[in-house]
Order: sequence, then structure tokens, then C-alpha cells
Amino acid sequence: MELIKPIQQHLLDADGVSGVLATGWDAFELVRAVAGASADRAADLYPAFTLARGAAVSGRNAIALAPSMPVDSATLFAPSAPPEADVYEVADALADLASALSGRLRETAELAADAGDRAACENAARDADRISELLAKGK
Amino acid sequence: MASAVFGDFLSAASEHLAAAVTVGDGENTSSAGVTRDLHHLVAVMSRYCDDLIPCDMVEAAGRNDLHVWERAAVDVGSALSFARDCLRRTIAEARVETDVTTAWQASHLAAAATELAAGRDLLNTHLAVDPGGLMRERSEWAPVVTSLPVTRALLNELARQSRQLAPLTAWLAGLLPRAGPRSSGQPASAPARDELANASQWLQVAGAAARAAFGVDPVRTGDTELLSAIPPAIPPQRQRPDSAAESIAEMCYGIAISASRLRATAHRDKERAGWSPIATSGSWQWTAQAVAITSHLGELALRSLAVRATQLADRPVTGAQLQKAADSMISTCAAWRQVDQVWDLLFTESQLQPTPAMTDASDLVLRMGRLVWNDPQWTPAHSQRGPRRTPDALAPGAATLVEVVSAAHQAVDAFARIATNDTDAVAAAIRAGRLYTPTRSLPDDYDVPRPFAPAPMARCAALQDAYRAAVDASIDTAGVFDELAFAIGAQSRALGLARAAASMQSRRRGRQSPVDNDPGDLLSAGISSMHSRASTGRAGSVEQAIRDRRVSDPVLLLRAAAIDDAARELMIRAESALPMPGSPGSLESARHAISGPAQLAAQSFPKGPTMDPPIEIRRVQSRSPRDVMKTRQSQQGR
Repeated sequence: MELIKPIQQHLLDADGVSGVLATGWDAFELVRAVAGASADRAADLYPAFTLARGAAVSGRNAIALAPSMPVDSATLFAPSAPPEADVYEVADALADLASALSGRLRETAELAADAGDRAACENAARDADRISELLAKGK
Repeated sequence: MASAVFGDFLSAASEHLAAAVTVGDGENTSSAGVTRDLHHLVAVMSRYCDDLIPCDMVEAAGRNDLHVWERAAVDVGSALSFARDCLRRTIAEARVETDVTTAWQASHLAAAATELAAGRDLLNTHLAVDPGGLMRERSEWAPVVTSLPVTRALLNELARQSRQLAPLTAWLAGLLPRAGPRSSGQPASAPARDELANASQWLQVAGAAARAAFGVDPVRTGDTELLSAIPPAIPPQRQRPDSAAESIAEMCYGIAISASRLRATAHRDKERAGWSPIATSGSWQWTAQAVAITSHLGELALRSLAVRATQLADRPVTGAQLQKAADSMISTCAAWRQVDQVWDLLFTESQLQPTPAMTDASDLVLRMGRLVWNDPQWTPAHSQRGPRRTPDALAPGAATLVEVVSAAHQAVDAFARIATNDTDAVAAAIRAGRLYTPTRSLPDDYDVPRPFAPAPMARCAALQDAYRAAVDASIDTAGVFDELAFAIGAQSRALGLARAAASMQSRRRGRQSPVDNDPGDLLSAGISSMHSRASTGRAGSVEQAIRDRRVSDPVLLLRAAAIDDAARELMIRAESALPMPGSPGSLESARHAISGPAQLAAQSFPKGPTMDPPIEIRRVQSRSPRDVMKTRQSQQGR
């Protein structure tokens, strides 16, 4: 949980296409790692966390195909211990992060000059939307 | 399953056959019309045997490696083809008019023939013959269709039908007038009555031929059950999850449909992995996730059933058996999660595209989830959380409990199939160099100026190891459910029978086998006198010439084969300038003269060539079964 908020802030602060792409990679990686670690904590959330993890991998890979993605800025999160916070709150927090990520990626897609960057941002935004749909508490 | 299965056609054919052979006193019966439909029915039965036989009668006589049921296929097939030929000649002899009144028996025989032909068509949807004449599998059921258990059951059924038809045929013979004196100048031909009588005897021979095999290797109940359960190779139509609440039975049915479609898709996609743009890391990873989720949900459902089993008075299974099945689901889930995680650092050059398999797997996940959670609109999303369905709501009675287990069995069986096929497909993708990895995830000494690099072999090996573990876990779980399905008499028990049967293959003509890869293949293109059945196992030039004239008389074919063998031996002798067999002073050649194929040829030739009528190749004389069998036995005895 302690990493989710800072990355969300980084997303808001990220500047330029390269900056958003690099932070977007980190955000997807974080969702992948946290969702994977949280899947076993509640039987009813196992499907949502598992599919969200898959969408995070897909979004991260989409970003990596963007021409403006800085090669040396991509980090990989190692599998971590499950977060200590309530698992449903973790799901909500990840959904919020994904929602923010989707918004920034769509904004960046509109600004990007390179068609490859635009396509990568739009594809990754769809994956972020999927994560948000899966993990948001909704009703 | 709603779609037709082989058993539907077989049952209908049996009913019509039973009605046809019930001969009532005083019935106004037209022998001619009945004979025509009887001929049609026997022709269909004969074609079934053509599908089953590993080789023809002549080759079978020289082989000692045939399973009793493979030999029975040859014997039943030969007898049925003789019966068919007798019936065909009966129709010709009787000069049957096409508008003759059809008896009620005829209509039943015609209907039986139609049902059997449709059943054969269904079986053949699973197999295709390629331009090279080799049989190819078109579905995941193909190895079942060609299995020994199915061969056993089918031959047993054909033999039973032959035994039913024999008395009817004899009765029809009795309706025809006896032959009058033959007028001079007419070609030698058996009268229709004799042909029918011979056909009846051949049908009896066909019926008896399977009995010998039955004595050695009886037909099991499961064989017949499996034969009846074979579906067509066309997957059932998708049953889209209903937006309204589905009943437990409807959800179980939908799960079975999705599982069936997934099995078919897995079989079809296996060959494409090396190149197809829809075979992507995304789809493979998504499949792994769907299987893991469904296994997780299946485990929850089985735990509920285990609780329910202790409450039901007429429980078909113990709670412990269901707990064991639930435990096996945990293993499957864990193995597929590992596959999912290894995919995190690997991907193909193509992006994920929705595939039919993903749609079917989605349906499976949704319905399995809706069995577990008491929400008809359940989806995997957090927003759709709802209470668990109580055990008594999941399985109000024993019958529903069996249905749910059957549905889980269907899903598990599909996973085992997917595991095997995805393992092969991923191996093909690795061989094709389609896997990449994020550069950042590689050690520092990798200097790749791009975000992705070709996947290192160690990662590919880890992926393959994960898939192998998933295969093992999925097959183990399928085995647990196979036993469970048998124990409770679930409809899905045919899946276990199919899995067991696929490992026991019955040889068929046209299937690739060690014999087909024999160097003798090279000779078949150009048949010479150096080529004979004794040397290559294939027809020599004379035998081939006889076969080309569509002659199936085994005596003629045996004689032709013997002539080819003798010609080959002659050529070898001539080329090596050795004394001819039978030449004075040659002990070896004397031995050949006694036991070799030349002797068979010589003894098969007519003893008094000037007294017997010439052999008419195009029109084969009718021979009674007893005569032919006697000839065969005496030839084999030598």
C-alpha cells in the first residue's frame, strides 16, 4: 500500500511522453506484483486479482513497445509478501491507481507525435481500464 | 449433450433391425424389395469393416502379429463382403423392377441402413485422408475412434447384426422358386435362391467370426458405452451465458458445452503455434489464468458438495471422495499459476487478440463462478462480490450433485487436453524463435539496446518445465475425476473411458505405422516381378492386376500372390544363376519345392485345365462359405 500512493503521485507529476511511459511501466509492474501477492488472501477476489495481474503484464508489455519508452528506466518488481492492509482496500487502491494510469495514458496518446507511442498508450490504457473494472469495489 | 452421438444412430438402427427380422405369419412380403434393402444394409455394414481392418484377407493370412480383434475385423469384413456380393447377384438374377412394392421389412431395413450410414459418417468426421492416402486425426476423439475398445464394440455390434440378418436372409431364400433346368448357351450362374442362401451363410460366418475374438478378449460394458458416446467432430454451438438466472442444470450443461469446444479448439490450434498471429503469449497466459481460476472455483464447489454429501440420505458418493477431488483441484490451480507467472517475463512478437478459446474459457469461468456464488450476474470483478451458494442450494438432491461433479469433470478433462496441447504449441513457438523477454529483466552483461531481447534458453526451459508440471497435475486431476464419475455414474464417465481407450490403438489401413514406413513403400510406385507380398508385404504385379479388376475372391488373390512370390523367386534365381527349384540334385530347392509359395501357386491352379471352364475375372463365381473356408484352411495348413 505504501508504494501505491507514491506511484500514483509520480504518474500525476510525470512530464512528457517518455516520462509517462516510464512511470506507466512502474505502475503496471506494481499492480502485477501486488495483485499476484494478494490473490490468495480472499477466495472471492482470487479471480479478480489473477486477471488484473494478467492485464498488468499486458499493459506493461504494450508500453514497452512504445518508441519513446526509455530503455534503461524500466524496473521489475520482485514477488513480494502480501500487503498488510485489508485485501479489499488493496483492491480498491489498485483500481484507483489503474484508473489514474488509464487517464494519463490517454492524455499522452493524444499528445504523442509518434504513431507507435500513440498506439502503445492506447493499448496500455485499455489494460489499465480492465484492471480498474476488475478491482474497483463498484456497488 | 444435446448434439447427436453415435449411440443415437446405433440404437435407431438396432430398433429397425429388430423390427425387420420379426417375420409374422401370413405377411404379404415382397422378397425382391426386401433383398434390395437388405443388400444396402449389408453393404453399409461391410463398409464399416473396411474402415476397421488393418489389412486385407490375403495379407492377414500371412501375418501373425494381428490382435484377435484385428483379425476378427478382417474375417467379419470378408464374410460381409461375400454376403453383400451374393445379395447383389441375387438382385441381378431376380431382375428386380425398381417399382416393386416395398414390404414393411424393407422399409425397416432401409431405415436401419440409413441410420448405420449416418453413424459411420459421424465416426468418419474424426478422420481425414490426406493426398498421400494417410489417415489424419481431425479431432481429439480421433484416437478413440481408432482405439481397440471401439473396434471391439463396433465389430461385436456388426457381428450381432449379422446374426440377426442371417435367418431373415434364409427365409427370403425360401420365398424364391427353386432353380429350373439351365438352358444351353446361358452363362454359368447360381440362381437367386442359392445366392440368398449363400448370403445367409456368409452372414452367419460374419456373426461367428467375432465370437472367437470375444472368447479371447471379451467386449467390456465400457467399450459399448464409449462407442455410443462418440460425438461428431463438429464442436457444439456456443451457449452464451444467459443474462437471466440459469438453473444449476443449465449451468452444468453450459460448462460441458464450453469444455467440449475448448477440447476441439485445443486440438485445432496445436499445429499453428509456430506461425499463427493468434497464438500469442497473451492468449497462453490468459488461458493459464482461466484454468487456475476455474480450478479454484471448482475446488470451492466440490468442498460445498462434500458438505452436502454428508447431509443427503441417498448420497451417491462420500464426502471424503469429494474432498479428494477438491484437493486435486488445488494442485491443478497451483501448477497453472506457475505457468501464468513464468509468462510474466516472456511474450511473443504478436499482441494478444481475442480468440475463440478465450471466449469459451470465459464462459466456463462465468458459469463455474455462478455455481459457487449465489449471484446470477456474477463475474470475476470485485464489484460482483456476493454470498456463497449454500451446499443445499448447489445440490438440492443427489441427481444435481452428480450433475455438478460431471460438469467439473468436463472442465478438468478440457484442462488436461489444453495442458498437453499448449505444451506442444509453446514448444513450437520456442523452436520458431517467437519468445522475447524484457531487456531490463536480463543480467547486466546483456547489452541489448532495445526494450526486448530474445528469450534466454533458461527462461524457455522454465516455461516448458512449468507446462510439464501443469500437464502432470491436470492429468492426475482428470484421473481422480474419472474414478469419481464412474463411482457415481456421472454422464461424463465417457471421458475417462476415452482417455483410457486412446492409449490402446487398433491398427487401421492408411494409418501411419512402422509397416507404412517400410522401405517396401519405395517399391509400390513401380511394381516389378522382384516385388511380391512375401518380400514387401504389398501386392505384386499379378495380385495388383487382379485387384485392379475389383476381384475380391480370396482364392484368386491368394493364387495371384503365390504367382508373384514364385516369379520373384524365379528372378532371384535367374540373377544369381543358381539352380532352379526342383532341379535334380538340389536339396535346398527340393525343400523350396515342398514348402515354398510356388507349391501353393501350383496347388491352387486348376488340376484339369481342359475340363474346367475358364476363369472369368470380371464375373466371380458364387462360392459357398463352407467351400471357401475349407480352401483357406487347407492352404493355411500347408
